[in-house]
Order: sequence, then structure tokens, then C-alpha cells
Amino acid sequence: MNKAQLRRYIGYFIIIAISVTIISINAATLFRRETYNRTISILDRNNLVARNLLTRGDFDSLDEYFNSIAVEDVRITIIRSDGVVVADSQTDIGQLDNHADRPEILSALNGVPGRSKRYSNSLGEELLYVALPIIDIGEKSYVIRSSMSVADIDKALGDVLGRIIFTGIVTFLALSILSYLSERRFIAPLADIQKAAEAFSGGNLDHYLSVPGPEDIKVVADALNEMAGTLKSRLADITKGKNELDAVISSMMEAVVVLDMSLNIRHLNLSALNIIGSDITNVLGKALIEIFRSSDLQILAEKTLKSQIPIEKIINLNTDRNLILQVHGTCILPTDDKSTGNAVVLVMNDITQTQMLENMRRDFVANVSHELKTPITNVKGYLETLAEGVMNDPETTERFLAVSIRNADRLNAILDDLLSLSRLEQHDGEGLEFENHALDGIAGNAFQSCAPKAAEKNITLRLEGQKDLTARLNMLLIEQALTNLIDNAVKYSDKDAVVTVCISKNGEMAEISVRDDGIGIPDKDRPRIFERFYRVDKARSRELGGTGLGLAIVKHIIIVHRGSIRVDSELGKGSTFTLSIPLN
Amino acid sequence: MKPREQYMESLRQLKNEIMKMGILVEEALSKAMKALTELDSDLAESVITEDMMINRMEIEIEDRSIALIATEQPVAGDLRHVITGMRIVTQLERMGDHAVHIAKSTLRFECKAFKKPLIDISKMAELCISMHREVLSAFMDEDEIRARNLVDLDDEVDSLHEKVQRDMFTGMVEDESFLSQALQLTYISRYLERFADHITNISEWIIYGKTGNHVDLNG
Repeated sequence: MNKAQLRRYIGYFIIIAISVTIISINAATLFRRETYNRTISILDRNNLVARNLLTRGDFDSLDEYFNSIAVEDVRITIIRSDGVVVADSQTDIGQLDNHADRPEILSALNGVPGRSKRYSNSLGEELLYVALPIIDIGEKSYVIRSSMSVADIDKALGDVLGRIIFTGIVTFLALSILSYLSERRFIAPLADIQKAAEAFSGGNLDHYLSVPGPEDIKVVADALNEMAGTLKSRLADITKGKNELDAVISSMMEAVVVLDMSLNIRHLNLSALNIIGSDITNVLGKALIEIFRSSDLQILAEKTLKSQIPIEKIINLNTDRNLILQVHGTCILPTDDKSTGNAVVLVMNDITQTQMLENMRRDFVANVSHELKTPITNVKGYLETLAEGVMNDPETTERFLAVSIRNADRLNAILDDLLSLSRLEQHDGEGLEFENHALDGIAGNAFQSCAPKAAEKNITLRLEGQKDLTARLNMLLIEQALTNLIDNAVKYSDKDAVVTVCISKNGEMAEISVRDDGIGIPDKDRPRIFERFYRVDKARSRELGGTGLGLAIVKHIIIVHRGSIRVDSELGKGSTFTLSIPLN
Repeated sequence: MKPREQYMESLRQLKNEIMKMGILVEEALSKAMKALTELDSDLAESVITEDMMINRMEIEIEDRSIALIATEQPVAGDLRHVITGMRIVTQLERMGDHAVHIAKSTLRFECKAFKKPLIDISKMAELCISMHREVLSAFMDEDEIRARNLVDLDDEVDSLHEKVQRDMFTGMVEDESFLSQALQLTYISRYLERFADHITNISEWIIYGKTGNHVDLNG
């Protein structure tokens, strides 16, 4: 039994107890009044009989009557108007004092029937007195009074009262037991209903509620079962819709981030997680600024929330990968009053690749025109000066012609490189002859081509590693690739440095690496050095006389050999280019 | 919303604002360094103008912190967090100024190519930026251990600064035309070293916010 039930029972008991008590008290009072009234009417009748006998002067009959009523415990007294007792049915009149001060006698003397209940000194017990109004018999007036012991009445009353109390207690117990039983009949199904409701709210909508109990409670149970069924089908609909939406969002290529009003992350898809490079558990509920760490993105989200207008912007994300994102921010207004407020949806499109290609294309066009234009402008300028009459000065003419030839050579070199590049691209390795060659021989040839330049800066060229390794390759192309790499290494090394070529075998691949201790390549430029005409330090490399195509050619040579090229470099420490080509 | 929840939400918003200011400072330094290495005076100018925003945020965040103290009357740990935030904002503002100093130095180069590539200074800047990211994470997570670990990186920055100074002085002696460039680069190295010092100051405040103990990480 729980507290609520206990309280309810106590309430029932109090109601029952009060009802039973009120009924019992009323019954007892009523009975008592009736008993007294009856006694009074008996005494009245006795008085009347006595008065009749007295007025007739039949004293013998009166005496007889006195004796007869003594059996019934009734006492009759006749009192003269001055209070002196003249006759009494039970006591010797000589012992009785003057009765004029008795309340019932006083009232009878005034001509009104008198009644009184009091202790009688003469009999030594509580008595009920009833007196008739005063009457005149002859020249004297008399008051006739009857009395009866209250003890008998009270005894009878006590008996009845006891019975009433007994009945009350029995009724109380019976009602209590009945109310307990009926309460239990209602409570037991209610407990079932409570359990069912708990199961429903806990998500167990398959729980079936069966109540044996009263009809009206059964109706409630049926309604609950029906509700669970409806909820279940509605829930299934919602779940299906949500799953579909989730599938759509998570399969999107675009990153989707949903933010709440305080710009904390509420939801995001796989693409968004890929951008952040973090686990979902580390991200949900955290602030946008904390996770994406971009003030531009934060400002975009703040603006979207404030203006409630869709905003689009290209944002550079300064993560390790330096992503360029096209971000589209939209504000979702609350669908009803109860939702927590506005939300912002950010859809991000990773345009790093496109942007990079765009940059490459733009740079290529700019660079190629610059590279081709410079030598031609030089040649043209010098020749025009000569044509304008400087030709007469043989010394200047010779100098101008030498510059023109150098520029023409440079142009020629660029065109040669471009041609060999386009050949490499066109053939894609087809039509080229591949034979087994010793790699050290090729490296030796490359050393020979680079020796003059190396000698100028007193740079030592060194060959290391597995010198007898052979691989299937096109000798001229690999020699050109190595020459380009060694040439670069010499160009970007200080005086008296060492350039090392190392030949080694790595599984099915032959590896040739060219290492220098030069200036190195900055991280941000490293992915782009194989682009045509791309220059890390524009002024310097042109000064050193490159065409800007050397590494692009190397890359394509390796591509036709189905190999790969790798660069390791540290600023100020030097670079290592490693070519890998298949042995067979 | 219960008063306590409301207070926590205000505190969270305050932290996010500080985070945003931190990111702005990081971006300012990145931009200043990019402007320096590429001698891009437009970018350098933009760093100087965008510093206004950092300065404005300092005042805003301080005002909000004071309002929070006045209205919520936080005590003990709560109060410490608000105070910590205000201290960190002051540091961030100074760091923004150092980015501006670097941008101004860049403008003084007048687009003359460097005599040597900026290897050590770039390294210092990279270190500063990764320290800064780390200290911001430590601030958001209230992770005093990560904050304390930043001291090692600060030492690395300090030793790089010494190396740059030595190199510049020898460079100046060898080549007089290098003098003004070397002087500017020495300053820049100094700004970066100060930047890293401010990061360790932030670490100290993070430790104070978490434990209530004042520590000296720069000692």
C-alpha cells in the first residue's frame, strides 16, 4: 500500500466514522426523549387517577391505589397549598418537610403543570417529578404529584445506547472492509495502466494492456492501447522520413553543418567531418568558431542569423590542408512557437581543386607569354638599334649580335623543351624504344653534360649505391631527366657543395635519387614545382637561366616509364628528388 | 532558463567571443607573414586595417565581462574564469599589435627582394601559429596540462630568435647594403618572440583559471 492509497483509506475511514457517530448520537437522543416523554405521560395518568379519587372523597380506593402503584415504583404525594404533605404512597408523612419550595410544586401552585428531575432527600435517589396544577377540594386546595426513579430509565437507556454503539462499530468495520475491497478493485487495474503508460513513454509501444477489471476502466485501457498503436505507426512514418533525410544529407558531397542560435554545432554530415578531420563526438554541441577556427565563417554565420537572408561567400579555411570553400549560409526560422529558435544551415562546397586548376591555368598563360616574350623583345630591340645605324660600330655590333644570339638560343631552348614535352604527352610512351640499360652508365652521361656548370661553382658530383643495377628504360629520356635534375641541383647549390646521385633497388622498382644541400623548396610551393613555367622564386630562377620546363619534362619522362617521382626538401637544408621506375 | 544555466550560457558565449578574437589574431599573423614572404604590400595594409576589429573586440569582451560580473556576481571559480577571460583578451590584443608591427616592417621593405630566403623567421612564425592554435584549444577545453606543455615550443622560438639575431649581425658586418633589411628582420624576429611570450602568458592565465594558482612559465 503506498502513501496515496493510505491517505485515501484514512479519508474513507474518517467519513464512515463521522457518519456512523452522527447516526448513533441522533438515535440515542431520540430514544432518550421518547422514553422520558412516555414516563411523564404515565406519571400524568397516575396523577389524574389520584385526583379523581381525591375529588370524590373516596379515600379507601385512594389508599388501595397507592398500594397498587407502589409495585410499579411510582410514588404519589398530595400536598396542601401551604406546602404540607398530607398523603404519600411510600413515605410516612410525619418525616416529610414542607414541599412548598419544590420547583414542580411552585409551578403547580401557579396553575401550570410542573416537572422536575432532581435528587430526592427523602428517598435518597434521583427522581422525575410531575405535578398537576392546583385544584380546590372543599375549602382547601391541593397539589397532586407523581414521581418515579430515573435509575430505571437510565438503565434502560444505557442498554439501548450500548446496542447502538455496537451496531455503529459493526457498521463502521463492514463499510471499511467494503470500501477497501472496492478500492482495490479499481486500484489494481490502475497500476496496470500506470505500468503500460511507463512502457509506452519508454518507447515500448508493443506492450499490450489487458485489464480484467470494471467496464469503465477497461474503456480507458482500450483507449490507451489504441493510442499506442497510432503512436507506433506515426513514429514509424517519422523515423522513415528522418532516415531518408539523414541518408540524403550524409551522402551529399557538400559539407552540411547545422547550427543553433548560439552558433553551436547541432548536426553535421560526413563531408563536414572530413573537412574538420575530427570525430563527431568531439564536435557536436561545440561552438562553430572552436571547430572551424575561421573568423570569416563565423562572421558569415552571424550575418546569416541576424539578417535571415541566404549569404554566399568563398572562404579560405586555414587548416593543415588550406581548403577553399564556397559556403552558402541559410537561416531556418522556427516552425512553431515551441522550438528553441532560429538555426543556421551552412552548406560548404570544397572548390580547392577547381580553384587550384584555375590558378594553374591563369599562371600558365601569364608565364608562357612572359617567357616567350622576353627573349623576342630583347632580340627585336637589339636588331632595331643595329638597323638604326649602330652597325657602323663593329664592337657594339658584335656585342649586340651576341646578346641577340643568346636570346634566340634561349627561345630555342624553350621551344625545344615545349616540343619534347608535347611529344612525351602525345606518345604516352608508345613508339619509344625500351631496353635494359645499366643505370650507372646513364648517370655518368648525365654527369658529363653537367660537368662544365659544376666545375664553374667547384661542385663535386658523386655517384653512390648499387652501381650495377639495370632497368628497362629509354636511355635518352632517363638521361635527360637526370641531367635536368642534376642541373637544377647544381644551380641551387652554393659554391664547393656536393651533389649526390644514389642508385638503389626498392622491390620491383629502381630508385635514382639526386640530392643537394641547396636552398630547399618551401612547403607551399612543393606541389606546384612540376607545373610548366612554375617558378618558386621568379627573379632568381630566371637569372640562373632555366626555361621553367625542366621539372615538367622530368615528370612526363617518368610518366611514360610508368614510374613515380618524389621530393623531400627542407628550407635551407637541401632537396632530394627520387625517381622510381620499374625494373622490367 | 534557470539562473545558473543562464549564467553558464553567458560564460560560454563570452568564451566563444574570446575564441573568435583569438582566431582573428591567428589570421592576422598568418596574413602578416604571407605579406612578408611575398612582399605583398596590399595584404600588409589589410592586416593593419583589420587590427581595428581586434581592438574593438577587446573592448567589447571587457564590457561584457564587467556586465557579467555586475549582474551575476560570480564567486570563486566562476569569477576566476571571467577574470581569466579578461586577462587573455588583453594578451590577444597585444599579439594583434605584433602582427601589425610585422605588417608595417613589410611595408618598409619597399618590395626589395630578400638577400636570403626567410627560413628561420618562417619557422618561428609556423611555431607561433601552432602554439597559438594549441593555446586556444587549451583555453576552450580548460586543459591546463596542454597549456603548460607549450613552454617547450616557446623555448624553441626563443632559441630561433637568438639564431636569427646572430645571423643578421654577421650579415650586417659582411655586407653593409644588407644593413636596413637585416635591421627590419631582427625586429620581426623580436615581434615573433614577443608573440610567443604572450602565448605563454595566456597559458599562465589558463592555469590560474583552472587551479587558482599563479605560475611563471616565462622564467
